[in-house]
Amino acid sequence: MLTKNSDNVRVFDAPSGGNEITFNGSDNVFPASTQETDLYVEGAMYSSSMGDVTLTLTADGESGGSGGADTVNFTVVWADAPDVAFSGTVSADNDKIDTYVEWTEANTDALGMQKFNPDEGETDPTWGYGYQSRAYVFPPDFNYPGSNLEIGRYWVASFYAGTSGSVPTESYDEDDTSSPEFQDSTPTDSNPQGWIYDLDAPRMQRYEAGVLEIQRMRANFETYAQLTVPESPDPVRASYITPFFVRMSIRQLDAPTGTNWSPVNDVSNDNVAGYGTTPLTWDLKQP
Amino acid sequence: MDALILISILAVSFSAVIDASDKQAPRLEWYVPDRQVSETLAKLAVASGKNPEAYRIYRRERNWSAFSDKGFVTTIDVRGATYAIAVQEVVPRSVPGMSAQQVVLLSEKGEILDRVQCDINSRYGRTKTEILPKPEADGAQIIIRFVGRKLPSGKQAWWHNQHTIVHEGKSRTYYQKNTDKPDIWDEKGLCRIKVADRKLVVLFPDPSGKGGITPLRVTDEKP
Repeated sequence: MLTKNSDNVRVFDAPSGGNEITFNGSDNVFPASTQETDLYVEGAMYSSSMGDVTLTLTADGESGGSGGADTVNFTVVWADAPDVAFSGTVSADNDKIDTYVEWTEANTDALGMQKFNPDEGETDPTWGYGYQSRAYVFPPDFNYPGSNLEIGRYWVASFYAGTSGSVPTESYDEDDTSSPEFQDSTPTDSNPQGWIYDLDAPRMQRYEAGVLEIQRMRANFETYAQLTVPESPDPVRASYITPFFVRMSIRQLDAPTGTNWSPVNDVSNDNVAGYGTTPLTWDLKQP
Repeated sequence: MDALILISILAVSFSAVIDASDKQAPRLEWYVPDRQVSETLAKLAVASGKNPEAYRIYRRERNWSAFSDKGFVTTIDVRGATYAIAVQEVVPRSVPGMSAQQVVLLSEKGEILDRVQCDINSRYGRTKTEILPKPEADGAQIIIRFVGRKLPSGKQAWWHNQHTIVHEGKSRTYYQKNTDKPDIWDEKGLCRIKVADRKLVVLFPDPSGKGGITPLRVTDEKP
């Protein structure tokens, strides 16, 4: 007989669809002639602590006996949809705060639109929009060997350039998860336990360009918690999705050429980041 | 008429390269006139009956970016036949963004025969193309590599999340498990290529999945 100590998991006889084992005293009893059967476990509600869901298989007449029972402990992992901070400062609890501070030209933990130092291996510094996303994880003490619970991100974006800033130059629609050096993916070392963090700054290079050249970024992001475990290396989403956007325009001011880029507000409501989505057009008008 | 002129220019340039090769230049770079590799290839594409935009704009699924004016053309000898290899590059101007390579195989006469594309998100680093002076043990003559960024801690970053290879109408995206150590993509390169029978052959990762590396996602691309 198969039993469980919690309704946090559901058990089925097929990897998708199939029949649910309802633990009604009939469908969770397997005759002695059963040689082998495959069952599939699905999380229904997140765990409060590691391994708090137990499935027990007991041979008839040997309840609890060491020779007649076997148990498997499960942890159901889930996270709240990430929140995103576009202003203020990086959380002191975020282990990667020093990385962010070194990255900014002003050597600051302030979020928002500002100048950033060149990425390693690049020569041009950038204008970017620093933000922090974070998610609260269940169970807060989640810690599974070889796993990685991190904040993932997907983006859809368009870029424009030219003296009017209206010439499309590139467009993207793909995964954009941060590198590990900007992720604090250890919920057990946060205070209180349970928080994971991600830092990022979508940014445009301050390269040598003609006077009054404009660059524009129009980007929509989706952020979420995602989990990889050794048994399944492809990441699996582990939270609802939070949509947010970043839009920026910068203009090069030195003649005849230079690298003196500065934010430009020739388009209303530009140089803003926030929850939701933005039009991806250069002038922010709906297409 | 333009295409014919450009074919002549390429043919003349081949002679120059072959001569230079005799003078022990292990890897030859020369720019088709005035660093206009993309525009030259676009015009040759018209003459080859191919879409010229594929040589002006890098496209993969719903992502695209203009090729930079960087790039080079060199020659490669395969069993007595001489081919030209043109390498085009997307140089990222943003993060996130795209770092991409397009390797184009041309005949001695400037006919475009085949191309392979490879790109990563510029967030993780850059791509570069190596043309080898002689094939490696697996036959690879062309390797597209990932060059990871140094981390603020001074450590070398190896992880690039995922990269995509486009060849013969299929776009294959390969996922790399998050790691702080070099793995097979750093050892072998993102894409290893040889030239055979007037085509580019992707040796690694094997498109059929031999060797145990299977793509995260496969999509159809417009030719």
